[in-house]
Amino acid sequence: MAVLLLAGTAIAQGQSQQNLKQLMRSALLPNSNIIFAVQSKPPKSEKEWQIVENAAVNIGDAANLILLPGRLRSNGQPVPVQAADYIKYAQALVPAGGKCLKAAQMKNLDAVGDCTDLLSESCDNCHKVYRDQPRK
Amino acid sequence: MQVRNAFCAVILGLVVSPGPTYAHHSVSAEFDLSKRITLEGRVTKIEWMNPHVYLYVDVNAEGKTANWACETAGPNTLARQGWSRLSLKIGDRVTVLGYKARDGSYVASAREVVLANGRKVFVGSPLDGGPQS
Repeated sequence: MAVLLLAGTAIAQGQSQQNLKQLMRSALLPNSNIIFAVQSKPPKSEKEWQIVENAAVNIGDAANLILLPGRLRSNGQPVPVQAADYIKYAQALVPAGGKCLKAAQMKNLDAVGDCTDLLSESCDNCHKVYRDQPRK
Repeated sequence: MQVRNAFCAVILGLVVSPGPTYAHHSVSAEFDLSKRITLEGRVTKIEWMNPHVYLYVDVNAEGKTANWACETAGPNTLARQGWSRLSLKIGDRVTVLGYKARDGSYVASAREVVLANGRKVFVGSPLDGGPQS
């Protein structure tokens, strides 16, 4: 009961329930992969392009999700939502998602290729600083 | 609803390509950093795309030829390391130093490529936490 009450409080305050790694794996990773995959396997129908558009929207909106206060990293530390560089890295997803959305709406493969540069850079820049070193 | 979900899964499957990962991941999640390998052979294909460029190399071993997919950093990172689309072409003989995929497939995380002229180029990402040589 206490857990439920605590969870309810967190939801009421707009705080997040998933840790950052869970959010990365459930939102950013699959959606970025949908966009990256266009380079090697172009969409062939309106429905497939719509999936790419949806992925781009989700990438842009994910900036807000990873900046929500109260979220923890998988190591139990709070996500540094007050850190200027973290905010800058997170917000870089907005133009990346926007550029990919325009490219998908135009169904332009070259434009999608261009937007993956921005998307890839925004991921890499943040991972360089904030992703834990991998297991050896 | 189940039919609709299955349909969506099929559509998603059409968009999200299998093969090598073609995706963002940490190097240690996909590759065994304790299994360093050296691959020598000829380049059969180059896929210049984000988030990883792939070199495909035919490698002869024990009388058989295997086509290895060698994952490198992305195009922008390679460009910063002095590597471009013109650095390598189909048919070039190369030596790739890297690490094997954990799943045992013919996929490797390439960290260095030695060109036929002996020039050695770092092709890993300085950002992925993997070995830097």
